Amino acid sequence: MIYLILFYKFLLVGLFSFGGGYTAIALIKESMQGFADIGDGLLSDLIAISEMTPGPVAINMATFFGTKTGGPIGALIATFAISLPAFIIIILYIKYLKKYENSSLIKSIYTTVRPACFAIILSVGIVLLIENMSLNEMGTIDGKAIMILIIIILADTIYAVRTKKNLPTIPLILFGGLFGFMVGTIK
Amino acid sequence: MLLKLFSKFFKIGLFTFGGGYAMISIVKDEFVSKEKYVSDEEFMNLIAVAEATPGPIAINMATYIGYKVKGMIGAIVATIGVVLPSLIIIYIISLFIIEVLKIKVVTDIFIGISIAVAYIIIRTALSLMRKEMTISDNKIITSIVFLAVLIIALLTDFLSININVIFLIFASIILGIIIYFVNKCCRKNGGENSTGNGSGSKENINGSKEVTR
Repeated sequence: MIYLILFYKFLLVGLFSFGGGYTAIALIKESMQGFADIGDGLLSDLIAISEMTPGPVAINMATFFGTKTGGPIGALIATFAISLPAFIIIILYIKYLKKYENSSLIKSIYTTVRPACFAIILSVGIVLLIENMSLNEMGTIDGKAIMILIIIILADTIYAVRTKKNLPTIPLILFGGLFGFMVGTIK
Repeated sequence: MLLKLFSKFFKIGLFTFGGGYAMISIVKDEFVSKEKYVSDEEFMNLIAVAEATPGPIAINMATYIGYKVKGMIGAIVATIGVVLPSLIIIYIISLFIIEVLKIKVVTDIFIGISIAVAYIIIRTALSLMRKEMTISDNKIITSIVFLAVLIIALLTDFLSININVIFLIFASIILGIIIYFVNKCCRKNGGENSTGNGSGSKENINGSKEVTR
């Protein structure tokens, strides 16, 4: 029975989380509040961990909550349920709607939707950065975080100047972890 | 080929820290820059589709590219590939998260990763926008939409207003439709204000001259 509820809840999240993982987080939070025996504190922790661990945020959260409420099978069900609407919709889009992509109406729509999407993505990055910069509750700026950011910017810039390309994503993420560790050992 | 698809998306799933937006950057590395399965422009459309449709961006992208490369089976393989690392790792972690979080080294590393991810997301968005500006027929509209949505998105975040992203996308769709019709009507007028969406323009049969502006 719990599997059914889990499936249903995460299916809904998958259906309504437009714009990606961060929307899904809000929906999952609502959906999981009071469900099973997850207190509010643990809820926030799980959300934070989902953002820090590898894998898409929404999938991580589905796995976490699925596990907590229904064990490994719960994890599978929640993950499957959250992925299903997206999977079906994308396939339907490619099969039936993609051919209209070249019509001038659709092209016109794309020219406004694309910058809108990029703006949304940029805003997510900015907010995430600021959240990381001000770790203290009082809103003061975290010096270590700034240090890490500067090192990252330097690394990317130096690489770009020497190779004319951006530092690829995966190495950059690993460096980030490394710098975090290094800066963490200071003081 | 399927194995390659699976392993690429497994790798993507493994290194996507901080969500689908960071993943965009990795997908670009793997499928646009390295292998050219997807062209730059199609990639940007893909992102728009992924953003406008529900569900985690990671799933949308994996399904889309998987389907493009190898049909239905490709879509399934890619999606499973991107989801699997998360399932395995998170399941293991969930067994003892509290203990893991208490280790300072772990939190230090994660903070570094989080900052790197934020930087990557910003970098990706800016480079996509740069590309958009080069292919845009009407740079003014492109810039205005970008800035407007950016400001609204930032404001709603900082003021903790919960606006579902879909509203912004919906508004931009409406704007796109409006511009399309404005274009059609202006072309009848001699096309001074045309944004140059020059594909398949229909001949104007009625040739009406009186259009009040």
